[in-house]
This record gives sequence, C-alpha cells and structure tokens, in this order.
Amino acid sequence: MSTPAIEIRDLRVDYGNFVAVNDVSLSVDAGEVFGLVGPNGAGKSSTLRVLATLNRPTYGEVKLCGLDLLEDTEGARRLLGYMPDLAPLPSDLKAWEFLDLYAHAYGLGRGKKRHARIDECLEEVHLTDKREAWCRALSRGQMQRLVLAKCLLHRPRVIILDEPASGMDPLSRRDLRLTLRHLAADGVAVIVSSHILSELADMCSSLCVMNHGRVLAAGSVDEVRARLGQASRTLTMEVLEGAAEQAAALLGKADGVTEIVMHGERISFIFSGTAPAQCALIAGVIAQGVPVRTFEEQKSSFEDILIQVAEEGRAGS
Amino acid sequence: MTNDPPAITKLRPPPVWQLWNNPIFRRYARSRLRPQGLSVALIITLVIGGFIYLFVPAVNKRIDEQRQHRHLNDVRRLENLSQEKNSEWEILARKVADWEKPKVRPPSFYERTPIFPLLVLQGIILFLFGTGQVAGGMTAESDEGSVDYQRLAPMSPLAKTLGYLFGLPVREYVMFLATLPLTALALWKGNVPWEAWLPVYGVFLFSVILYHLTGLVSGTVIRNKRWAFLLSMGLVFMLYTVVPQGARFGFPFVKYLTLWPVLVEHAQEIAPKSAEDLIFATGMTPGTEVPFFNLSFSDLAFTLVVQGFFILAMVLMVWRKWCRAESHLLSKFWGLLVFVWIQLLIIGNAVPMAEDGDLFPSQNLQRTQVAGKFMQEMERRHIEIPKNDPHLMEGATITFVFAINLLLVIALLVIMMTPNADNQVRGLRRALRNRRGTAPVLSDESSALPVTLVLIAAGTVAWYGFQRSILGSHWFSGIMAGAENPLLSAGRFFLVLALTVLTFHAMLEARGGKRPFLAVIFIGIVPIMAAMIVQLGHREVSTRALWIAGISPFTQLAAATEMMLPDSFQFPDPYREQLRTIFIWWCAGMVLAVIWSWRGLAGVWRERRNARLKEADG
Repeated sequence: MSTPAIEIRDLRVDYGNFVAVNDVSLSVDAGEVFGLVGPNGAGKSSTLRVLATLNRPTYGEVKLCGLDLLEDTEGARRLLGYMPDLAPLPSDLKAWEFLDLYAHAYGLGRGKKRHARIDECLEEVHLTDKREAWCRALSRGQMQRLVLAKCLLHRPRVIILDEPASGMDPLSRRDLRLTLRHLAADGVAVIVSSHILSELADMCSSLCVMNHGRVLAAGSVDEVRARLGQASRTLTMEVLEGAAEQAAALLGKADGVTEIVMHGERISFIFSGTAPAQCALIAGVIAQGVPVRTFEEQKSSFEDILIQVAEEGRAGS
Repeated sequence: MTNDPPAITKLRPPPVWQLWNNPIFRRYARSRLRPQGLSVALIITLVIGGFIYLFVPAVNKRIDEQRQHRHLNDVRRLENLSQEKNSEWEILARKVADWEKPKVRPPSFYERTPIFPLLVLQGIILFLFGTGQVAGGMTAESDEGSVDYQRLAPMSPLAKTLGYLFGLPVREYVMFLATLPLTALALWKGNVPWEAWLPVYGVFLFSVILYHLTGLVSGTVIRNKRWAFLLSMGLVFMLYTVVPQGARFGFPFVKYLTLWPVLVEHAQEIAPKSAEDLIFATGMTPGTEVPFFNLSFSDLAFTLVVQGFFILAMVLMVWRKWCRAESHLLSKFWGLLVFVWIQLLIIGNAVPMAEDGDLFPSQNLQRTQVAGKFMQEMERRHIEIPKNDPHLMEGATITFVFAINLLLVIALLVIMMTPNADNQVRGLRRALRNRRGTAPVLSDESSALPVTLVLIAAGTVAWYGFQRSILGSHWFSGIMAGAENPLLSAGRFFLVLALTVLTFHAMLEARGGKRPFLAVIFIGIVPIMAAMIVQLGHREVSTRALWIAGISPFTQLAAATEMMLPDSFQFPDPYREQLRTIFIWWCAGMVLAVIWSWRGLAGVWRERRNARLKEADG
C-alpha cells in the first residue's frame, strides 16, 4: 500500500478555550482532489494552516508524504504549496517579479531556466498576458490565480488551497477546476477548502464536511450526500383533480411527515424515515384510494445539506 | 487508482553568505530601486550632500579670513594707540594681540570641515530613515500576510533575516553610498589618515546593523506599521540624545550603543573644528581606555563588544520568530542569559570607574559645556582648581538608577517570557496528550514564575554587589562607617523588587492584555507626579506628598537606597519614621495585591486544570 500524501490523525487546534479543530483524522492519496467544506468557523482554515506548517497543533499527528510535520518542518515545506484565503500580494511588484521572488527563494535555478518555469506557471493559470502587470492592478480572481501559480512553481507534491475560488468569476472557476484536475492527473494531492459545497462538488474526487471543528462526513461526493442527506428529504406527490385534500389529510396522519404544502394538485412534504418506510407510506396512500399520478423525491442540494449541517450545529451549540 | 507522485524538484536556495543573491534582498532591490522613486531620493540626497561639501569649507574659510582681517585691523588700531602712549602699553597691546591672534590654518583643515556634517546626513539617512523603513516594512509584510509565503520558502532563518535586514532599507543604503564620494573626497583632500576614518565608519555601519535589527524586532512584534516606524526611529533618536546623558550620570555603558565614543576618539583627526564641541556635547574624553572588571579595552573594541552582544540577541529573537511565529522573542533560558550579560556589562564597566572616580558626575565637570570652558580658561591662566571627592549622594543616586534599571529590565524580560492564556492551555493539553503533568519548565507554554523568581534573586544579588562596589569604594569608606547593616537595605530592596515583579507577573499571566500596563502607569508613575504637584504648595516636605509618592515602587526603591546611607544623609525625623510607616503599609498593600493577583492566577490555573481533567475523562 502506498503512503498517503496527507495523513492527519487526531488533530486538535485550540485558541484559548475555543476548540477550532477537534480530533480530526483524514487521509488524502496522491492524485486526489480532496475538498474540505463547512460553514465559516468550521475549522477548515485552521486545519489547512497546520498542514501548511504555519500553525502548530495542540496535538495530533500530521504527515505529508510520510514526513512528520512537527519533526521535519523544513522538509515538509519543500513538499507543499499553500495558498491562503484572500491571498495577499505585494503592491510594489509586477506579476512576474512576484513569481521570480519565490522561484529564486525555492532555488529553481538561474536566469532562463527560472524564467521558463515562471512562464509555464503563468500559462497554467492563464495569466500569461498579465506577466508585466502590477500585482495591485490585478482583479481579485487574477490575484488568486497568481498566488496559485506561485504555489505551483516548485512542483509541490501537496497543494493546499484555502477558499481558492472566492472572488473568481465562473470562467476562472472553470479554469481552476481544470488546473486542479491536471495537477491531480500528475499525481499531486490537492486539498481545497470552501464554504460553497457545489463549488467543490465539481472539482473534488472526495470530500469531508466539517462543523465546529469536527468531521461530520467524509468520502466520495455521493457518499457524503447520501450520509448527510438521508435523514430527511422533500417528497412531492401529484394526484388527480379533487383528491389533494384527501391525500394531505392522509399524509398528515402518517409518521415522519412534516411541513405539508399544497399547490393545486401537487403536495410537497418533508419525510424523515428510512427507505422502506417511504415505500410503505406511498403504498398506504394508494391503498386508501388516492389517485396518485406521480411521486418524486427531490434530492437535497449540497447547499441544503450545508445549511442543514450549519443549523444543526447552531442548534447544538 | 492512485497516480504516482511527481518527482521532487531539487530545490537549491542560494547560500546564506551570498547576500547579493538573497531573494528577499533582491526583491526589495527591485521594488525600492526603481528609477522613478530612487532618482528623487538621490537628487535630494546629492543636493543636500553637495551643498554641505561645497558650502561648509567655504564658509569656514570665509569666517577665518574675516577673523584675520578683523584681527589685523585691531592690531593696527592698538599699535596706533600705543604709539601715542608709552612702551608699556605697546608691550601689553602686542600680548593681547598674540592671545587673540586667529590661527592660520592649512587648506587641508577646511577640506575636513564637511566630513562631520556629511556624517550627520548619513546618520539621518541610515539611522533614522533606514531603521523606520525596516520596522514599517516588516510590520506591513506581517500585516498583509505575505510573511507567511516567506516562512514557507526553504531558506534558512538567518538568510531570511539578512534578506529583510539589508533589503528593506536598500534605498537608504544607496542614498548613503551616493554621499560617500563626497566624504571620500573630503577625507582625501583633508589628508585624514585611514586609521582615523576606518574605525568611525566601521562602527557607523555596525551601529546601522544594530538599529536596523531593532527595527526588525519591533516590526515583527508591533502590528501597526505607523507605530513600529515611529517607535524604532524614536528609539534611535533617544540613543543619541537622552541616553548619553545617562552615560554622564553613572551609566557609561550605554554610550557604547552609539557612535559617540569612537567618533570622539578620532574627532581631532577627522573634524578638528568640531572636536572640542563634540567632547563638550557628549561629555566624553578621547584617549581613555574602557575598563571592564580587571581588563581594559579601547573605545572601538568595547563598542564592538557591546553592540555585537545586542546584535546577537536580536538576531536570536528574529531567528526564533522565523522558526515559529508563535515563539516568544526570547526563551526562558536565553532571557536569563541576556539579563546576566546586560548586568555584567553595566557592573563590569561601572565598578572600576567608581574606584578611580570617573563614574561620578562631579569628577567629570570638565566634560560639561560651561564648566569645561571655564576650567579650560582657568588652566590657560595657570589657576589651580581644587578637586573635591565625590559626594555620597552621587553614589546613592547611581545606585538608585541601577535599581530602576534592574526593575525595568526584569519587567521587560517577564513580558517577553510570560505565555498568554492561549499558549498555556495549549501547552497543558499537549502535555496531557503526551502523558505529562505540565509543559516542560523551559518551554514557551509553561509559566514564567520560576524564571521570574530567579530573576528577582539575581537582581537582588546584582544590586547588592553594585551598591557595595560604589558606596563601599574608598571615596566613601569613612562616611559609610556609620551606616546601617547593608544586608538590611538589601532585604528591603528584595522585598520591594519581589512584591512589585510578582504582582506584575501574576497580572500578566492571569489576565494578560492592558491591565498590568495600566497598573504600571497608575501605581508606578502617576503617584510620583501627583506628589510633585502636592509638594509644590509646601515649603517643608509635605507628609501628604510623601504618602502619595510612597504608593509607587520607584519611591520605595529610592527609600531602600536611602536606607543604606548613614543617618546624617537620610531624611531627618519625623520624616524618616513616616517613611518607615509608609513602607510597612506599602508592603501590606502589595502583599494583598500579590495575594489578589495570585488568587486570580490560581483560579485561572485551576480552571485550566479542570478543563484538562474533564477532557481526560472524556
């Protein structure tokens, strides 16, 4: 079995009495794009800053390609590229000068070789035409892409991106998605955070949903959706004319049915229960003589799931 | 399917010693040396430098020519007058004319005159602007967050420190270099030997590094760019204005943080016209050796030792911050070492000077402007000036100032080494995870109490040793015979120091933030100010003013110092009795403050321990 590119075990990060990350464990393989999602304050950025060796965890084991971050911080730094949230840029440098600073700092050769790498990275993030532009003159999305180019310079094996898509237009987001896929195809492990789940769903091969510093669900996109979305779902039933009242009355008496809303012959309601219970509910309504025309389950969108997670968390706290 | 990881690119960051190839240095060289900004700075520098170079020699020459001319006229007038009178008048007239005859100076004299003003300009550029730029630039980097990018770059902490140290003020260095040809021309035309200017410029650049490092440290710690900029420039300004006054009054060590000692040493060769003024202004004498216990150093060597120590200490602070952003500036171990070394420097330099009397202000009257000129005139007229022994109160004042230095240095180190609540909790949790009771004693996360106690003990020993060396010196051996047992006053000093520092530490560790600093202002300084106002309305010592001033630990330190003196030098009764009563009440108040703040601290500890145990149970 190959060593995971990122391995976190029992990670905890505290700020005084506030627990930002609470016993989080996860693993990301090389070539995987891993999404970290959760509402603001879920502990995503703290986790990523620990991974980037910028924050020291209270405790826990963190390894990058088998290297222990706490034991060999310098070694680990050579393996990673990190892009913070609202990535800052110096206002007094041009785009290529900013990249040249870090290409030089990472020791990427001299003169032409270094410049060639800078041009490659600019091309990768579609900023070749902004090579000579001042950093201060770039738009928010372009700034994000320039910092991403900086992360790519030394060909890291792990890339850590904190809210990379914030401020990007749809076109830039698509480009980002493509860039991340390229990187993954090259065997780079990418961990990316966002509070917009749909944003990550498109670009990640696996996900982890966090709230209040804890991992709520992790796995492939469908697995996470299934795990978090199964507790309650919205069902819609369409009946023949004149049968809506009867159907609503029957549903009102059934277990696990709430929030019944009627729109003419369409009745939507929330059902909390298992799949067999859902089958029994439909069968029961039909057995009572209600002429059911269609029956549909609305899959929860990622946003709904996240809102649900956040609200549960808020209620819990 | 798992893809194969990419091969690691071989990263070869430039070696530390290749400063010109340092990426951070080059980054700032690129941004701060753009023609547009640089050309304006260079034009201003060259205009001012050129003006100094051309104007100063010409104006000095002109002044001397006018003096010569005026003198010739006066002599001629005197001769006419004496011819009308008698030969006795003539002889007297010639004598007077000889006394006042302006010296005829060689051209090289005038060529040297711009050297000192140019040095002042260079000092303003590098000492003031450069230091401010380093502090402000570093704060801006931390504030924007780009410092995190540098933290991740695989350069050594030393390479990063050097990159910022020389990179941030690179424009100021270029401005300085632009003035150098003018200085070189003045040195060459003025026939100044290299043995004179090399040490001065060597120490100048050494001081630049020290001040810029101060800026770097303040820029790393202070979050507000403007404050960092002002504070670091203010610090340098104080070094050249206020600090040398401290050197005159018993703390000669501090002047070695400046360029003054080496400049005064070589002033006669570099700037003969300014040399005398420089000696009077700084109160320093050229050609003296600097004592350090039984050793003696030249001004140059001692300056390099003192500044070198502070440079090392500051590099260590910045190094620690680069390694880990949340590190304290100094670890507990290094904090102790720094404290011991600073006190050794002060004591080692002051004690031998106390023996030969040079430490006492009264013995250095010739170094002050007015008295110096007066004494020079007396010497010229062969009038002997009777020399008095130093006064006991001079020794007592120096001892009191030493006590203040101890209190302030200890408080500063306690601030540097005391962990905030976040760090302590984190340390406890980490310790629990590693199945240990507490964080390691010397780690940043553990309480600073043990090291504070060691500092208090070391401070008391240092003070006792210092006061015995000063007041026990041969100058005061007779007078001090009737003094109380010095151990008693040391005990009182210990009480004042311990109660003050422990309260400060407990407040800092339990609550942190602004409270301890407000306490310093309202308990340490405000009572003295209030007492001064109250005292103004009385001819005799006001009891009320005594009580108000007595609240301040500084007053109590003064009282502890006074207690060492013989009865005749102490406050007369009933004030002495009152001072003792105030001291007892002060101690009682401070014990309550210590108990109160320690209860707060114990509560915080208990709370943290409980939280930890709860976690363990969970």
